[in-house]
Amino acid sequence: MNLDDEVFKNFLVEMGEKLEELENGLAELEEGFSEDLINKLFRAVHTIKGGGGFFGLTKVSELSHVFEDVLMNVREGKLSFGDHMISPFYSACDALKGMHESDDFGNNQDIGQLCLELKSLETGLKKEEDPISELGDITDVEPNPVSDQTSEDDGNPTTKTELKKVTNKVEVESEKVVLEEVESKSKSPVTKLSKGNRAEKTVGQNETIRVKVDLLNKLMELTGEIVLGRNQLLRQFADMEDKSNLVAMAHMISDLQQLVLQTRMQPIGGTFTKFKRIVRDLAKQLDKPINLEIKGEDTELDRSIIESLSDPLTHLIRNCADHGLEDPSSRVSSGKDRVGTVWLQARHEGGQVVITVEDDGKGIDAEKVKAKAIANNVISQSEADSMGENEAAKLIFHPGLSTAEEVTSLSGRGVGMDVVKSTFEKLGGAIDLETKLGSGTKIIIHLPTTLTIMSSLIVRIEGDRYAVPHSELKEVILVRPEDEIQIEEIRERKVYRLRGNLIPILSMEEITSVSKDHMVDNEKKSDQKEILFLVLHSGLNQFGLLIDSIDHTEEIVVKPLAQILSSHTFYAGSSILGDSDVAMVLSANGICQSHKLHIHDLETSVQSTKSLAEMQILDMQEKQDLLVFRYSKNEQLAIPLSLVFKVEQIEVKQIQKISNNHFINLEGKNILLLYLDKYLSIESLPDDLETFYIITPKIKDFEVGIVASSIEESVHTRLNLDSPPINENAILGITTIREKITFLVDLFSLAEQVSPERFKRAELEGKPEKDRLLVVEDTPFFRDLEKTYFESVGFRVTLANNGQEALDLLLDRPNYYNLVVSDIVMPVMDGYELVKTIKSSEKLEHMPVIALTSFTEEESRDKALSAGFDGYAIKTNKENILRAVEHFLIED
Amino acid sequence: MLYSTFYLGDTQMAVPIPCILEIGRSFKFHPVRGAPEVIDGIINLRGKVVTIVNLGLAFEEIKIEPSDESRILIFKNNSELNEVADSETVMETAPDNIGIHVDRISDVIRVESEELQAVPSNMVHPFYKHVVRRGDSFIIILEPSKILNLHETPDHLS
Repeated sequence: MNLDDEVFKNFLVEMGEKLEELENGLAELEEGFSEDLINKLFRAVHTIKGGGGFFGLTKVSELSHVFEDVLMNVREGKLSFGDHMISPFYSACDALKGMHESDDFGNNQDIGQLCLELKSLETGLKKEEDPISELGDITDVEPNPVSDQTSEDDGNPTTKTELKKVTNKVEVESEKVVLEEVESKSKSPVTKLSKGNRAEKTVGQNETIRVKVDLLNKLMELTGEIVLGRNQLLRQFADMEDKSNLVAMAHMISDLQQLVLQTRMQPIGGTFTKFKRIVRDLAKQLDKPINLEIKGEDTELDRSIIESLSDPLTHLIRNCADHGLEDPSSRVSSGKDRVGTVWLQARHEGGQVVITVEDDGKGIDAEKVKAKAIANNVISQSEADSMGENEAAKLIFHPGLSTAEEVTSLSGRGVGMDVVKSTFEKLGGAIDLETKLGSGTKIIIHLPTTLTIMSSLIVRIEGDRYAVPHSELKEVILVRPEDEIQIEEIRERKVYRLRGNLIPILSMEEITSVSKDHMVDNEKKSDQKEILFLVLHSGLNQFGLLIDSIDHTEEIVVKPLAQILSSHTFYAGSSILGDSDVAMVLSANGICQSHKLHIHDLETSVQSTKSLAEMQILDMQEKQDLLVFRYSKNEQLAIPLSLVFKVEQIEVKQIQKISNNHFINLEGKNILLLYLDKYLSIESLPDDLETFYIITPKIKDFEVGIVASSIEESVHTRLNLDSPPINENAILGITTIREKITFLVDLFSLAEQVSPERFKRAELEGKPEKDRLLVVEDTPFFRDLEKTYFESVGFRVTLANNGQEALDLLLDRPNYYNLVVSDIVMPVMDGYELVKTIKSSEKLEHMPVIALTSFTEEESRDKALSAGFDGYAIKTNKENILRAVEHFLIED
Repeated sequence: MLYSTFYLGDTQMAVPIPCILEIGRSFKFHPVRGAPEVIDGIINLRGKVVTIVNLGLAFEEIKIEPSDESRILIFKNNSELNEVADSETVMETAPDNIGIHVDRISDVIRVESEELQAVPSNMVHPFYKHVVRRGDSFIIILEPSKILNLHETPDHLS
């Protein structure tokens, strides 16, 4: 039983804490008696008793029960406290500690003697006589009600003085005694235990050690400063010839930073597990059977974030149980399983942690929320009319709105969701919601993994520098005057059509409501100028932020704003950069909030774009973003922008040579430089370069810097690939960009050539018997890429441009193809529809269909599999693609 | 107690020395766009980010421009203040390190507690705490916790 294990572990930790409290309390008690102290001890022992009883630790619970009784009597004044009590109290405490650490939790331990001792305190004092002289009798009167080996103890009346003697004796005896104790049934189990304990403790100490959180925080802060210092030093001494010491130090600092960050990371599992219990209780209370599915317990988050998660998550889960899930009877009548399900999941996604709380209940009634919001003057009627389902449902995050018609003890008090929202936002996260009336609600929470050190992009906006955390940055877009898609103005609001979605474009002037003179001059010219903007996201909201230029990337330590400035929520804080300037850190969250940006539901935006320029979208889907660069002076090369992690400008003197290989140190990492003329038959790099660029690809296990003499541009272009005239493995094809012949580099083949052992050409074992593939893909680039991949390992490939074409081909020859490999997002008929049609057709239902997409999120994988796809692979990962295909054609 | 005195225009003002972390000049101000005008910006004080209040604007007078004579008085934050606090005088500044930008600084003066006089009723101001007579002139003793938290005083941050 995993769950119980987890709860039990938590109890053991708690018991350890309580024991420590107990011990400290006893030490204080020795110095002076106070009622508070006794209360504290009582509570500690009480907790141990409760847990021990619950988990069947009989001896623990027996001993703590007796102990508790004595303390209770003292607490209630029935028994007056005397110094002679301290020693037996210590003994009991030590015994409990021994049980806590022993393998069987003391279940086979003899505690009769100890219980007697404690009881004697009680009884003895009640009679208000010398407790010591009474002891003999008492032992006879109450012969060990708890011990398994009663007979042993009868003749052993231990008095305070005797106990002391024994203690002394044991202490002068050698270690041998301690070791033998386990077997030997000696006279004073208590004292021995305490000794045995100590020995055990030292053994265990290597594993964990308690550290004050405060100390960790300081360590963290200091490490942050050291990282800053390192960045400053690296910049300051960038021109020095021999930097080996500095570089070595920089490495160690990077490692240190990682480790310190780790000390604060904790798996979220502990927080998740307790919801099992909460859900069980809720199910009983609400009389609804509820099943809680937990996933991703191992996801690690900063401790301070985890600590703040418990309350808001509890609220969300209660909401699911109370409002989300219907009564069993109404569930059955609407065709659902009687048992409602709540999913609680955590996962890493793009440097953030995403937590989802989902139920399969009745969903949120958008109309009801709207009506209530109008009644409460939160929105106007016309605003309500323009809202989609999800957008309207998000109104529940507004203070003062709650949909439960009936207030229950669990929820529906109209407070909560807004508090939940602000809690997550305080942590630098964002909350979002998707709901479908009748089938459930999903709450999506995006959180940063750590609060203090963030990798950020430093940009210039109207003369000032700002830091933008990478976790909030989606992409950077350059709009040239000649580009088809420009920033448009609709009723004085700037918008940009980003892959079919309209996103708002903001300037710093709009965000801060402060205009700068500097700005006015530029604005007039901006019509003919290139426009650069960042696409930032907060949860599912996206917007563009106009910038002048990009400086560099840097690891920054975010310092909170002084309270005097804290009303400026569009700043997350400030940070000291490597050149010791201070930059403000922008907060996408804060900007969204202060500008009340909520992005319309996907449905509405799709509608609007269709009506505006349906053709244009279709057109766009045929296009591909490429990064165009040069290696030698004359040849133009390109790689898909989606495979580029980052581009950096480097000076020649920064290169370090180690036995034929060239390396460069970037932010503490040594990156191998890749000179393309080694792998492709192209001209070599110009000799006279002082600065050049390195492109870091976004391919797992392929951490190299591809050397480029210049970066030309990034283009969004229709890709007409011609096959390469020469037999080059690492060239996908030739295309024309801005009237220049351009080689499209195949990064995966390149990776195979560079580190063949890691990127072995995914050979299929033997030639596949079933080798006829139908590849459905709308983007020509990927269509060709996939074709090359599959043909290179011996498949026969037929191509289709969209779902409809594929379906026509399939219906034409239902038994010809062995496997369909399909993209998901396509014009005319998308992948979901295609797979539905295939699976519901009698002729085709046995045809395996694999989804091939560029979405890397777990979520879309689940979505694809539940839509009927038999497999799922990510486009940009060749090996992954081939494995997925192989699985269906060879293994069976 | 010792007080550090400085000028805002022709008025001499003072703050208790234990509240002060340091006095500096020629810092590089980094503007905080969107912040109220009374904030000159933020500075990097050896790894600490300190917010600077323009005292001239805080009193709704003329903005103090950086000059050879102008200085920044940087205050300790509350926790730094607590570390040096003695039991006799309870002082408070702000949760963060904040500096004030003044026209020029003047002498350090010693003021005995019996010298502290109430602010005359015709010149009461939220930032004033006491007045002290020195020779022919008055020195106004300011309440640091009020200036440094001026966002809490109505009508000061709009």
